[in-house]
Amino acid sequence: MRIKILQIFFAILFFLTGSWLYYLQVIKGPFYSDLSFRNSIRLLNISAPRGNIYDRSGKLIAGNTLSFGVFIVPQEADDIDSEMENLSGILGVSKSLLERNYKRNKTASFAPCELIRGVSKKAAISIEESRFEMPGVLVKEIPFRNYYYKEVFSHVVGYTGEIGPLELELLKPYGYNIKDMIGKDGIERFCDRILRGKNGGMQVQVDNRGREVRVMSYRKPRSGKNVYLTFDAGLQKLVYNLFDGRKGAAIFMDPNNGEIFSLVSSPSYDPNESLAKAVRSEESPLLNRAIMGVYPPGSVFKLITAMAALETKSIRPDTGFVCLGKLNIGRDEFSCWNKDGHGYVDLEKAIAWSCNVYFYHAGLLTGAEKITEYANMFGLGRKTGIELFGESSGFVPSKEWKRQEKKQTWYPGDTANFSIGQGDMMVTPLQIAAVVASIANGGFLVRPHVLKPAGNVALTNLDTEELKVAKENIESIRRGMRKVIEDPDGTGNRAASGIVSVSAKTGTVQVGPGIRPHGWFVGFAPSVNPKICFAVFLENGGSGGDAAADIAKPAVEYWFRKKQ
Amino acid sequence: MLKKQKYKDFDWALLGAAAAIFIAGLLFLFSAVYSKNIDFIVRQISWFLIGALFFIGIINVNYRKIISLGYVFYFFSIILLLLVIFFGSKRLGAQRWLELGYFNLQPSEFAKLFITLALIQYLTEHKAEKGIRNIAAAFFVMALPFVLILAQPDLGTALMLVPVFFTLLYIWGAKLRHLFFMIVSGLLASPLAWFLLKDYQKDRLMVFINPNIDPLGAGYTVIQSMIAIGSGGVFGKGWLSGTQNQLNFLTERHTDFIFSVAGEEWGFAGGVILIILYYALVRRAIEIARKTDDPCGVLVACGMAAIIGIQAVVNISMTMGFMPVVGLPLPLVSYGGSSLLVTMIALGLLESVAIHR
Repeated sequence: MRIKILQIFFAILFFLTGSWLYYLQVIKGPFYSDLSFRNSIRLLNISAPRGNIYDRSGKLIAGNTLSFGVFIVPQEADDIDSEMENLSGILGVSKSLLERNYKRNKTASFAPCELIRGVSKKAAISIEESRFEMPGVLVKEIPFRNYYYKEVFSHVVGYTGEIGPLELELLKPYGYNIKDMIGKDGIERFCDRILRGKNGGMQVQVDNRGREVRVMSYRKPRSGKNVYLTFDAGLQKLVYNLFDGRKGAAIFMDPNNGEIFSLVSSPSYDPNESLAKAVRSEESPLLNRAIMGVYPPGSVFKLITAMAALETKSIRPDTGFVCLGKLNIGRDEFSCWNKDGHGYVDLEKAIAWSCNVYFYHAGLLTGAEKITEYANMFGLGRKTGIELFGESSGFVPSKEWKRQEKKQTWYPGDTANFSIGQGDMMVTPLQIAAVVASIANGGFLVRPHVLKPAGNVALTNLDTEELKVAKENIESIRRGMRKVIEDPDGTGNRAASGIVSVSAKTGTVQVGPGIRPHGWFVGFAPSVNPKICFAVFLENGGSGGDAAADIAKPAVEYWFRKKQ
Repeated sequence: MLKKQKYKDFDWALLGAAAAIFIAGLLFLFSAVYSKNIDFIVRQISWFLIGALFFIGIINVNYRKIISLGYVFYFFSIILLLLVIFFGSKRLGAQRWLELGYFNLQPSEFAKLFITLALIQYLTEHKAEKGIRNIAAAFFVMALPFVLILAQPDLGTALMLVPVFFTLLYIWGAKLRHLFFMIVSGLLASPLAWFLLKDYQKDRLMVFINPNIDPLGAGYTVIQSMIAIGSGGVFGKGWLSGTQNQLNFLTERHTDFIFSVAGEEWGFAGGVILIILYYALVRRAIEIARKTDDPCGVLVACGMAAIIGIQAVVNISMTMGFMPVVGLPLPLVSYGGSSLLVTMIALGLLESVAIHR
């Protein structure tokens, strides 16, 4: 009897075991099949090499270098501690750094864990050679974006980084994936779709340690296309170095088509390195002062005032005013920067000497509305449309704006201030460069741009717009600008060059008592048929004819010396 | 003619089931190790040949003679277990093996069998008196080696002794209330046992409750084993084609977890046939017990049935995540000389009972 019960007991046990087997294999079979498949199949992304960025003559600005990374597979290592000791010896880095990275990067015992990257080829080879003494240690190639000019191009070229959650959401429809490297700023961002190419992929069967057993399918990555800039790397480097870390911006441009040869914002940052330091810096190196920074134009604006006055026939080039060093408008006294007065001045001299009194008269005769109109016509108050992110519009004040926004009356004194570029007016250095270009090219509003057309297709709208201004009026202003350099008393005569004739206009913006004024130096060369125009701005750089001119002159000379 | 007469009651079905299981086991074992080290197959077959000698020897001996030496075996196994504690080699965190030149001996496997034999001897000698005193004495016979095995630690083998012990008492004819009392007091004492467990044993029990608490540690083996068996589906992935097995996701797959190889590559069809074969083997063993009038023979047959049957069920269940992982081999299939040899001795004893009833 008891034997019978024992037999039944075993029958039940085996039946239960069989039932569980049925449940696991037949009912849950598909579920576990899927798990098993995923267990052994890894989809490996093969990132396409990113396109290079070159300057106008084919000098490499941004490209990819292969760097070597050292990894360790924890469960394959015999003795992680002594292997790290070994690696630290070969690599010449401290063991504690490797240990820190190991702790930070370790995910699973079978997954390769990055210990260090940016290892030299020599070190990589010697690690490879001693592989057998260090089981579990791997050397892998990691593509690495290299910005060969470091700080010099950072505001133009930008940098790359891993795609953020927000960007991923936006860009997913365009084939972007998690962990993709994308351009975060500048041309890297603007041209990301051109530069990035198309990632390939591999379906790989792996074993329990994540080691490749066989490749099941492979899709070749398509490398990104190269991008050519209108820049001249040599000029860019020279200008950047001339700033010597001082705050400011400079643009050098072809006035005939808007191709930018150099666009510098200083101080800058090295896109090869972590941006953490740059973000914290009080100097705001991340700010692209050439396109984002807005400043009062100061006397540079007198070019627009002159244009408006001539066009509205409020003055003629030979119209003269007497400067006694100051002018009373209403109850207020408006001074010229030269307290002794300039005496009798015509337009050419007024520009050459930057006489405020002359432009008070000219501005008052023209009227604020017309000055606003011409400022807008020359592209102030709106973005130039350059292919860089974060461009500011600047601001052009108007009578209407003052009434509506500030609920104040526009006084003649406002017009006087407006005429010499002081007051509420705000411009970016790039806008000023565009204004200068229009004067240099005889009245065409060009679109400043940094990208060379790829193939036959222009990347950006490069239409130029002919301004409805009389050529002879532009010519009058150009004569004045030439005198700025050539007149013995011209405000910019220290920029006179033995190599090329330069035309320019200086600007000195008062920013408050006891603070060094901002300096502007804008112009073009040669004076006839200009090939280059420029706008240099130095924050708290003192008088525009000095420090800013000292940046412009060597750069222009470099340009023409190079052309010969 | 006498010889033929002597073997007329030899149980061919029992041998057939065992042989089928062993041959299938060699196939599983081959698949589990061929990419790494074919040595395992050679050794398993060598052990099988040694086991075959024991088997043939034992069927020619009356099992009663063997049982009468039960205490001697018992004494021998206590010495072996003590030797392990002092001289054993450590593997996988447990000190279970004695290194004897080319072979490693796992004394707890032999102890399992020898203790059963000693218990049978005691119970046979005291078949007239079935009081609480005899039960207590039998309990202490088991308790001493139980503690020694637990100390190695070898939870699986130690726990194996418990159902075998109860099976023998039950078949012997202990009063149900006595058995009931022992089970209840054992259950009440089990929380205390928790404190005696090693950390890794606690981990395994926790992992049984929820394997995902430590998927790369203690739970890894069970999860991968369940994935392997589950993904085998109805007909399996085919011999030598189990991805979980061949890509090394299965650990311990040539020993305790060999059923996951079987399940993955042979599917439900293969797995259920293996289970049926084990059941057939147990069923034949119990059949031998039923045909025997000798109480000692009944105890031997039922004891051997319990040793093989419970091990098979527990091992298969643990690879399927149906029971906690305790280190127990799958009889006749898992790689391991001691286990194979012990199982074949048990089979020999069964045949001896069949022949000498």
